[in-house]
Amino acid sequence: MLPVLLMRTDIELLDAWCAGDNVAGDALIRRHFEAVCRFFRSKLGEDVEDLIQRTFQICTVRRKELQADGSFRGFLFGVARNLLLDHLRRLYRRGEHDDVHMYSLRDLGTTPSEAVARNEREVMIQEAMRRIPLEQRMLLELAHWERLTGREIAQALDIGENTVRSRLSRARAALREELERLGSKDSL
Amino acid sequence: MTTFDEDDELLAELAAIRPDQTDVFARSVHASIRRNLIGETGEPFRLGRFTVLEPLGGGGMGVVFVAYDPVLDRKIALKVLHNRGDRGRREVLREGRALARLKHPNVVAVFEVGELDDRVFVAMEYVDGHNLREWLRQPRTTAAILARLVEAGRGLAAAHAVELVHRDFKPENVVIDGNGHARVIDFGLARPIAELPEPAQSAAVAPATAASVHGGTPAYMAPERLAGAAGDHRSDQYSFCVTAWEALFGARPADARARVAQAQGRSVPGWLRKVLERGLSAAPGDRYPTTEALLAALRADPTRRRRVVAAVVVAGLAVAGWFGVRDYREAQTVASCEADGASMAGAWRPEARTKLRDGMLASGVAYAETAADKVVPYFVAQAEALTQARTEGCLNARVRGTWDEDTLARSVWCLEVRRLEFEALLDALSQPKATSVQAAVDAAAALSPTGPCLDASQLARLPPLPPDPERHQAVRRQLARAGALRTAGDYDEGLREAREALAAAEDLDWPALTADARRRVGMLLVEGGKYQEAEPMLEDAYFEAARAGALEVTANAAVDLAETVGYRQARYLDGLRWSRLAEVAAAAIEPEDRLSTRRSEIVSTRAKIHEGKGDYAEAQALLERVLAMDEKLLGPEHPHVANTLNNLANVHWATRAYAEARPLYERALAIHEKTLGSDHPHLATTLNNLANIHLATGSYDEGRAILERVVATEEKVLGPEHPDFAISLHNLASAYRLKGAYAEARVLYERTLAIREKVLGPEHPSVAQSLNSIAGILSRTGAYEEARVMHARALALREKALGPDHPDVASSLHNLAGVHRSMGAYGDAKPLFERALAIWEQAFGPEHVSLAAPLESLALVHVALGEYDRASPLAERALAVREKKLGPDHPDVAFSLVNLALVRASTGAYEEAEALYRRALAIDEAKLGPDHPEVAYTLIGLAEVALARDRPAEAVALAERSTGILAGREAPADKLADSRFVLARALVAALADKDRALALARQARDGLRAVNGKSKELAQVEAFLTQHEDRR
Repeated sequence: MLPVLLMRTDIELLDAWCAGDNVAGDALIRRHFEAVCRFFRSKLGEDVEDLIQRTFQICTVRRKELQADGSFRGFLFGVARNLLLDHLRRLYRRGEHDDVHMYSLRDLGTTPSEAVARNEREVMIQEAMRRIPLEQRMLLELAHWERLTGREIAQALDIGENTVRSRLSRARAALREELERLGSKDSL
Repeated sequence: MTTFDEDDELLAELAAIRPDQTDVFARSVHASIRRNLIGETGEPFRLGRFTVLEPLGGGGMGVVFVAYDPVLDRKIALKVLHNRGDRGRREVLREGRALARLKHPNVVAVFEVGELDDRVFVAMEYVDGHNLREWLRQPRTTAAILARLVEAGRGLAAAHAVELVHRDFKPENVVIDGNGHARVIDFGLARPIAELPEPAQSAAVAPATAASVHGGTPAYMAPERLAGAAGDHRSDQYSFCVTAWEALFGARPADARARVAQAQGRSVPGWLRKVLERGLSAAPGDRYPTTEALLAALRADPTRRRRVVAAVVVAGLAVAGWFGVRDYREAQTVASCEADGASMAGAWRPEARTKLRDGMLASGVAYAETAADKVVPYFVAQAEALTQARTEGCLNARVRGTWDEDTLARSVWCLEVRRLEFEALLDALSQPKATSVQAAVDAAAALSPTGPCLDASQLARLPPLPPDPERHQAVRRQLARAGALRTAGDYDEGLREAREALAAAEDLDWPALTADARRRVGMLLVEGGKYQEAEPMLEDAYFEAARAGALEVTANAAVDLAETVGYRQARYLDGLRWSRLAEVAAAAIEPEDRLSTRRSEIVSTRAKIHEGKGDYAEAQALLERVLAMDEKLLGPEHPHVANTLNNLANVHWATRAYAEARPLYERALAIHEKTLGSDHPHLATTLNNLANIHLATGSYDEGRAILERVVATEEKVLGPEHPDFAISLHNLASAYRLKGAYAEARVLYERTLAIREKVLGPEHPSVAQSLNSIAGILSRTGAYEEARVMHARALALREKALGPDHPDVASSLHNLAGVHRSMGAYGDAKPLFERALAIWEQAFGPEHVSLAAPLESLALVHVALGEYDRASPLAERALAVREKKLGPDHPDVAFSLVNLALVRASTGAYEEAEALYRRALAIDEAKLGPDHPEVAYTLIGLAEVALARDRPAEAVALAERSTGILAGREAPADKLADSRFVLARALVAALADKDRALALARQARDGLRAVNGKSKELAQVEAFLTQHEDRR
């Protein structure tokens, strides 16, 4: 039996899934799988199936935390971000309240899966992205890869909406600085 | 809603490098998640020439699908490996080629290896079935399990035969297909033996690292692989045997003792267990040389069955029940923690146990075999405890999340100290030395408990960990060795080690370590008797540790000082003060109401100090507390409990509370027998104490029986020429003597003397003891001159060895004087008695019971010299002292009564004398038996009194009896003569058989003539004879 899928909102799909509608769940996953997959893979590499799966699972478990007027995407990435940071803390032996998000991927020494760079410039950008603090990298990803709105970003990163813009500028500045640093060297 | 796409070239470039998720990895993960969360498989999709049908699962290496291969026209299992860069790709391609060569009914076939979408893929035979773990969820017979294992083993053997190694053999990698046959899969890490890299140089690579370097699951990994080596077919054998064990017994094999326990719970034949145990040998060389050999052993059961290997058929059921990915990961962490734990007990291998046993047996000590058996359970228990604690800590930090990594690091350090202690003790006890065999069980029972290493609050109070633990390791190892040498009794060597360790520690400039090293040096100095040197060293250790915040070391140093200063050097107040400081340090580590061995030790030391001081009541109360604590902490049958019981009993003994002491000795004995075996020297000590109690309470037969047992054992165990054997022999002789069996006693004393003269030299103080005892017997049998010579020799020896004021010198003086007195040389006797009395008064105080004997002797000398008024107060004092200490019914009190009676009689106070004699008689008859010589002597006294009071008939009766007793045994001739003489006089006075009287008198005369120094008595008899012989 193939039900007709109306263009339901994410939250409607989520609620339906929580109520047992697996088709709705399937649709929800299909909508957001690529983004979540990208989120984890670009930082951790290939051993991320578990994290991706749990991200979706937790969305159903913590459904109540999402306000009616909130954004599913912001909620989703918030969950993903927490899972990522917990994972990194466990993996790299940081305490509970440590500021692992202040470290860069290079510091943490992960082996992420990235797109194949087509030229030297792209290689440099990828390297620069590895060197800025994780929090700033996530900010850039959410803004420029996933195209989240300011409100969604604020929800995901658990910061004030009015600070998103200024933080983003700082992140971009940091990226530029890294690029300059890299550019002035002979090799990466 | 604003977006942030500013017109910025950089941002455009950034967006351009956004990675798409359209590759096979993303698709396979999506499919997996769909299946897990939604419960559906996805649409089939194309991957190269394959049509991917559904995912089977994934892991660290890659993902596996069921797919259809149009070329082979069959369903296959398609494994797509993670992108590991060029090098990884090359290796995997190489593996694949190797695997494709392997064709065996018990191995899942590999058809093709290639590259797809920038990844390596492996197209394998798809096998429908369950893996071994799932298959085992149903109840299976041992035979069925064994059959599957042998099949899987054949697959392994086939791989080994073409020089391939599996490297990740475990239940999940054995599939039982639709026909019930076992197939080995996932040779994903197989690598031809010739191409394996060199083994890692460093010793212990953490298991997680080992797994990632060479692959494999730590819980099934052979020890050499855990250590970082690449391994070979024998490592596969190990993994196979772990798998087999788990399949047959239901749990993976742990250490040796747990294996035995596991074995007993299952219906698995012993021969099978032995085969697996060989395969589980820690050293690869000890396992079966080839996998074929192992298989042959597995097939060689008494009830052979033929098995038919069917052709491989692919059926249509889905593979069910893979681990959920999350469970699998957690299981990996748990397994890694277990491997960490297992590495703690690495020293306790079967070879180590053999070496220990061999070393102890080589010492030549007779009870070594028993000791070797008895000591093992303590090592096993500690190995288990170390393993468990390490695993628990790891689980707390890595799985449960209740600890942070810092706490784990401290716990690991804490356990490391204990591991070094364990290894050092094992090593020390494996050396063939008699002292270490004797101390073995006590030392092993005293290994530090692991509880504090799992107590987060205690760990938090440890001093900070050093920044370079490896350098500290060497010093720690040396300190552990020094500690082990100390407990094994090898003090010189231990001191040497400790001093070296201290020098090395000083170089490292880490106060907590230096303080500990200093403390150990201090304690070894104490064991060697060098108290002057030890005390400042221990004090320095205490203060250094206190400043460094190393609370454990502080507490230990304080306890050591309390024991050394307060107990060994008898500076009681200082010692008690140190013990209070120890309490303070201990309270900073753990709460006051917490039981611990440390607390127990502190209280124990206080008790010892009080005992030394003579505060027996306080000592007793403290020891009772220690006993309660140790029973709770260690169990009621622990060697320490036996020691505390012994100490408590000793305190009772010191206060002559024999009734309280006895059950404690008996219980200590029972524990010793259980923990040490019946041949251990410690038992002899307790038995001796127990025997002395019996002798002291007058139960001579019981005491003698125990001592005979001790002597028999010691002769066998120590040999007939050992000084400790001589001690027991001496005690046995004393038991005979007290019973009046003088001949037997003399034989034994003389044997003791011979041993001591030979082994210790003729000038040793214990030789004097033997001489003294023999002389005592000679005295009792009337050989006074011989006795005198011996006593004089003993006296000279003692004066030389012990100095002129030692109580033992007083003993000899007293005995010598006694002989003089018996020979009538009262003038010679008196000054000796007086000197003895003076020494004893000085040593023990004027009220001590030991003064009774010299007081009486002196009294009797005064009597003999006619100085009655000087005699009386001495004899009275003697009686009073004895009565006070021994109670009114002790044989020694009877002796005093007799002496006082004698004094009274000689002053004419016959009524009093008779009363005293009668009282003495009652005691002697009850305590010594009606035929004891002492009874006879008392009867003689009574007869004399009766005569003096004009009651000749009574005198006759008494004297008949005394003569009868003495004539029937080997009594001193003069005593028998006395008896006969008084009988003669009584008969005459009773107007009875005069002829007999005269005959008796003549006998008496002859008897007296044979003895020296009886001129006075002789004159009396002669006078009597003259008087009555003429009147016919």
